[in-house]
Amino acid sequence: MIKPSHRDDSGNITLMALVTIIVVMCGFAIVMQFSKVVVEHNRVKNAVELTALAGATDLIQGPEISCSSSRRIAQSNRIVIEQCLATGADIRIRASSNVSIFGRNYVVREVARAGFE
Amino acid sequence: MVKKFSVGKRGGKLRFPSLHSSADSGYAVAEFAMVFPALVMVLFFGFWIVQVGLNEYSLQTEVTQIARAIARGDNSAPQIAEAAIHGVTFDITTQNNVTSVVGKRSIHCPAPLRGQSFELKAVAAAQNEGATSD
Repeated sequence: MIKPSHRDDSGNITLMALVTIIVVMCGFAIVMQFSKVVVEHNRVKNAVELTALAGATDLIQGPEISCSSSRRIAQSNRIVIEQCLATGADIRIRASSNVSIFGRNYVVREVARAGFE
Repeated sequence: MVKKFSVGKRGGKLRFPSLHSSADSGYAVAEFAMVFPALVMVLFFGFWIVQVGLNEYSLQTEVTQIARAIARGDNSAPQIAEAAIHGVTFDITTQNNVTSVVGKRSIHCPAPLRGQSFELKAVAAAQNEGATSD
């Protein structure tokens, strides 16, 4: 037999609201961390494009110099070049950056290609 | 077995269950009135944080586009002017054929922390076109 409670139910809304606020705050914390990754992705994408363009400018001087100027621009844009492939008329750059998500390290990677037509 | 709070007709009188005594009526409304502003504030603050993220995203894009335009030798004045409308300031330097653009946007905190602000910053560097590395 289910007995209905005779107890005073004041405080129920407060408890429910507290739970809701905690859930909403946790949700926003997740959204915040997610937006941090999105912003970092955008930053790395823009930076790797500028890096590839810098490399393409110096392609005519050979792959060594081309990759060297790419590294210089990458450093200024606070990204790390993982791979630089300068072959003939184009240069392909793969770069990364680290972002901390809930205390854990997450690597953001982007690739860009630039060259002559 | 007679249930104390059963629903039905007993003794010719229709009874409905009453879980609330008159003593605690109005508590829910009062509590709701107290916690609702807190909930609204949390939501408002959350949306503000999302907006800050979007601002940072657009600031990065603007700074990159301006760095690229200057490095290419294009006229970047319209882009700078458009960004300035949204409260963005730029610091542009060219050194060793590398154009560096630093964009800053001041973000004001919402109501409880009104009057305080912090700065979003984005940096982009581009090699000038036509120039070759040293």
